[in-house]
Amino acid sequence: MSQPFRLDHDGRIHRDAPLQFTFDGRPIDAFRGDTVASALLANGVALVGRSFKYHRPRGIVSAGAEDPNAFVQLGHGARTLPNRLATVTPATPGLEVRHVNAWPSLDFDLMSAFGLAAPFIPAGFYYKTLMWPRRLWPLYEHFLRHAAGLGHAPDAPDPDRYDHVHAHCDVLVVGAGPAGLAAARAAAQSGARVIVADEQAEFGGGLLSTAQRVDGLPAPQWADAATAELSSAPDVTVLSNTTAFGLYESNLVLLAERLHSHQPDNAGSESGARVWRVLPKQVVLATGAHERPLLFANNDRPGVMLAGAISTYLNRYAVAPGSRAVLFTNNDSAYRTALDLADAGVPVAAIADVRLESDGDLPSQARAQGIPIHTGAVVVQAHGRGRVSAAELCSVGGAPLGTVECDLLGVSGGFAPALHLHAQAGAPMTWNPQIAAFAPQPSHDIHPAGAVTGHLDLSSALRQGTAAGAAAAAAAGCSNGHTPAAPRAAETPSSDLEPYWLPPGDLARAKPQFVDLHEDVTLDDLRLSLREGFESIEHVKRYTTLGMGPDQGKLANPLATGVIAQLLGRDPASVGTPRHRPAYSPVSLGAIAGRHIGPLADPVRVTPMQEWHESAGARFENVGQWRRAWYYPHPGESMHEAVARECLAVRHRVGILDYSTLGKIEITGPDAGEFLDRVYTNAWKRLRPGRCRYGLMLGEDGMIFDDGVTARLENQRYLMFTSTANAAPVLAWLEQWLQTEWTDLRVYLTSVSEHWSNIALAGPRSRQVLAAAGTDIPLARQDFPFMTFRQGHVAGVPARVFRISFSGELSYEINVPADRARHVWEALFDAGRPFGITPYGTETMHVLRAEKGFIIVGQETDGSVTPDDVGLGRLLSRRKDFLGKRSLSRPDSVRLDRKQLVGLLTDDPAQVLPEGGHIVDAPGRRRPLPMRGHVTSSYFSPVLGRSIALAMISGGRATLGGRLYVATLDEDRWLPARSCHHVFYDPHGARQHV
Amino acid sequence: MLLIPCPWCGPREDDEFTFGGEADIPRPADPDALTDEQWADYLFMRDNRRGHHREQWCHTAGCRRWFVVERDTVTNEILGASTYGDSQ
Amino acid sequence: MSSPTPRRSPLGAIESVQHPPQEAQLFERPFLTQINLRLDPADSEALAAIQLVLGVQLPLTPNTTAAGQELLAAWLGPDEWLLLTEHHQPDALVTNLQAALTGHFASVVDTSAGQTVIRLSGPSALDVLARGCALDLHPSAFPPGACAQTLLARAQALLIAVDAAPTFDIIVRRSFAPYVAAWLQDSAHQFDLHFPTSDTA
Repeated sequence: MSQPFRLDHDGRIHRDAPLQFTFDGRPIDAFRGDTVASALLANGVALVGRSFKYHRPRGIVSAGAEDPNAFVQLGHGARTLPNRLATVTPATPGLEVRHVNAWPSLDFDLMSAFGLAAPFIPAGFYYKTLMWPRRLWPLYEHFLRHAAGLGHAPDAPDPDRYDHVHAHCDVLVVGAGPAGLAAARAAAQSGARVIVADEQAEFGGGLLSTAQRVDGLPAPQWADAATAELSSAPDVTVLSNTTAFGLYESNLVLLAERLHSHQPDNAGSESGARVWRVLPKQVVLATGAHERPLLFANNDRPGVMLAGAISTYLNRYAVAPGSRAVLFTNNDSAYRTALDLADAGVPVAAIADVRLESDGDLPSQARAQGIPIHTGAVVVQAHGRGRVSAAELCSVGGAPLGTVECDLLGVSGGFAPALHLHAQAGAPMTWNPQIAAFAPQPSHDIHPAGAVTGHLDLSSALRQGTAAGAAAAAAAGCSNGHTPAAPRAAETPSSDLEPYWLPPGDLARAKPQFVDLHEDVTLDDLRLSLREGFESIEHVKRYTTLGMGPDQGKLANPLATGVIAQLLGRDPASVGTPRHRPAYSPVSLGAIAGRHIGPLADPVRVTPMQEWHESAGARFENVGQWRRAWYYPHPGESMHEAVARECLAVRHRVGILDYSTLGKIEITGPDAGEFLDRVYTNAWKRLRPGRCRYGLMLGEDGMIFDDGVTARLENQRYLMFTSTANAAPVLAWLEQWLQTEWTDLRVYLTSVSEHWSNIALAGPRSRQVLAAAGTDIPLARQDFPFMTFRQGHVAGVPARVFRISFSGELSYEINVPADRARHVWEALFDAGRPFGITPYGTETMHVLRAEKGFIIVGQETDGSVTPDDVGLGRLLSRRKDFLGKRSLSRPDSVRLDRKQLVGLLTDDPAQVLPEGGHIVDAPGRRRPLPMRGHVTSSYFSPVLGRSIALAMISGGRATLGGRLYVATLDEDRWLPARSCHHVFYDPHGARQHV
Repeated sequence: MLLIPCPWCGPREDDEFTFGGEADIPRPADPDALTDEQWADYLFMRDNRRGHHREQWCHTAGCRRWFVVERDTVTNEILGASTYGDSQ
Repeated sequence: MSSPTPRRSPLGAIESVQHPPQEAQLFERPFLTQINLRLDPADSEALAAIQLVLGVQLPLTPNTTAAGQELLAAWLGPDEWLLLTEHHQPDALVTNLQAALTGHFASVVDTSAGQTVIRLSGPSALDVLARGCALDLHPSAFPPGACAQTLLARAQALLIAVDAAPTFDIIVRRSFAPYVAAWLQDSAHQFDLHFPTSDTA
């Protein structure tokens, strides 16, 4: 018979909408409105998984996000989702559900042999035991990894679409139970923009599983009406299946909305999940409370369930989770479950109540129904293997009270507020002895309401919710004079709970008693931790893994606080609770990544010449976010051959380089020259308009920060070039000085990096090419000498042309507006054909500058290099102060053994040294080997027909010509070389002056 | 995530900003007059205060202005922000 | 001066080649004149001189724009504005502004080729932008006439609220334009908005 445990009336399920899904391949009949858990229970499936460490059989414990056992795997293939809770996953047609953590199958679990052989692996076991003998660790590890699996990741890229949405509101309400619904209504009625989210498929929370009435309506009906009202309100966003999983500083709240990606018919459709990044002005936390489990031997057996969950399954899902029940409680709420069970026709064989008296409203009703009630009694052991078969009762004094047969054992140790979000934000909480749990303290922008405050009855949840919603709206500045009235429900007086942590006397020694079902942490583990000195709750957590599972210890932590307090003989308030951290429930990595994947993962910046480079067959390299042409191989050419060809073309004819990525800053104002004097090491005020100068910029520590050429465009207007990577940092650095320190200087900075593209023509024929392309700028040497700039037109386009050179050849850097740069590039290239023009990329640029001994900031320098270290001491003005100058006379800056820039020539001219290679005076096997320095740049120089390298060598300039050895990854292989001056080619710079 | 109150643009998320370290460390008027120790003190030594901290931020992705934020380094609570114009 | 050389926008538009119909909800507005202006807001003489040239008063309230007949001025910082127009050539406008500001501490820099404008319009515009913009763009917080420099996905952008359609102009640096366009298109995809490509001619 299908669904033998389904009740034949009531519930929120849609009996007219039957559906089927599979659990481990078995068909499971369900109705729309079921969760996977309620459907499994309706079908009498008690065993849903095996425990993490001991592989004990485990069943469904709760009806919500707090469940430690009901983790399942949904779907298959690329779209599978691990670690989803059956208790909050809606049952949908065709859904594939599998158990996790049992191998090879749920019913026949090989791993439980592990449990039999070593029934209780104590905390710290892995580290203490399996490390010896050490050589066997890989074997152990293989075994443990297999055992510790929590579902499996998809084996192919997830085809679902995950995205992120930023949202803003006046009031965010987390949780749509009675308090949350009341709060959202009150806030909306005050005119606030509201977002209300609940992790369940349906709004209503506890309202959906109670027989009580609200404003005269059955509670579920009232919940439906309130939800409908919210859904139709204009400025209210209603999000179901949405978990608020993190609350951060500034009240940023992250919500994960599940969009049923596990639906088999949903492949390739819009969304798997969406992360909402909400910045509310005020937050109402109506997150409810989690019922606390109780300790007794074998308290993990399938069939042991939270009492409130039993009521939920009965009332909301019309499922009887068993056929004969025993309840174990320390408070009144389990009596409501007893009444619900009796109503559903499930006999309640006994209620064991820790308290010596129970004469509240609900206990009296239960007593009147003839339910056997044992006050001053506890359950000390569950019998049964695959499922609970009986409960063994004892008096609180330890006297046996007999064994009662049952297949359902409902437990209630009271309720602990679900204050996780509150605590994540670091907001204060206090120990509330009334409920024997921590409760959140309200703050000016976080308003707890309902069960999360420790008040469990419906009428106060509605009252508190309304008040919190209205207060939050008012605090957010929304007040339209409307005072919302709280919905009304009957008061249910209840008597206090009696905290109960440990079984009486020696019964507390019975084994096993689980504190954390997910992590298989037992009472003995806590004892061991305390005995070994790990007493702080955070140490206990780390020693035992308490609360470290994907359930985040929602049930375990509140129990552990009391248990540890009693074991230590301390006040629970002083024991505290482990720090709560996001995520409240598992969030798939796809949702975290959102659309920041593939080509959208990071901006790819390209120049206006990108398409030309692509069609010319360029290979590209990433320089920060920029994609730059690296080299342009001809068909069949290797990189080495292409670069050699490009290098020789520039040295002998002419090359063309896209240098648009350089940073460019216009510096305007009467004090621009003074400003440059302060930020550059050399002198600027006397630079005449139309001229260019190379400048070095230091940090205040005296170390090279950036370098580049600056031109004086006009009297009060300069153009500074920065290195590609430093374009933004240099601008920020300059602005910082202007805005915070030198506020008297009249200087404006404007980035023009993207407005001007920069095309470099380099090589002895570059003048002819520029002339052929057409320009109104006189190009003769005396009209346009080296280190000057001219304004005019190139190929009909307004241009700023700089006679500067990074290759050491005659060179023009032609700046044109980026929207016409492609045209100018093509015009230059066409004009250059008769002259053998060759496009060259960044690799050739690097070789050419290395031949000239020009440094690249970030390659020769690393933030610890002074100008003198790289042989640029002549650029340090003695006549003025500049940023970093004082640091250059610090003792460390003038050490004789500082690393200095030198050239390296290998004994074998074909040998190209490894960049980054360490350099020693003499090789050997002695360790440590004194290090002289390292190779910073290394290339084969085609024009010299041999390899060259630049290196930073301790005291290098004083020992030029000395023999050095460069290390390789093979520790017996050393590459001999001699140091030399770092300019390898055209040492007097004749070629760039022609 | 810190919501940083740019004095010009209002509160914005922290990824629009660049942190600039402790505020109120003026550059010495005459660095050459300082001993190495005094210069090192200016260069390297910071209070790294627990609690109330005045620090520089730049609204990099916004108005590009540098300004001073007062922040509690324990709670991350932001106590105020001022422009350089205000404080001088 | 106007050059005979056709300009190319970062998103493929070519000057004087027919552009896609502008009733599209997502399209590039290429080749607008964009001038970066810096001056001291306390220099009332300079402000008055600028107003004469532009026909519009520079907005002094942060994150607002001022629209004239032919030109829009957007606040970028306490002493910085972006001037946007399709009615003036950059060189002419720069020359006029520089002439008006002679003797004042000010900076006028043409950035037209360095950035482009993407227009997004229609009822789903807010939903599209919310995918990557952390600002509250609800009309109560960001009404027409508002502007803000912020991050759009992982690129810096200047957003201008144009009208209540709502319509937004998104101004991004040239090298980031392909990324931003791809990102907008991706976000707009679920609302059935597509980026018309300009190189269809």
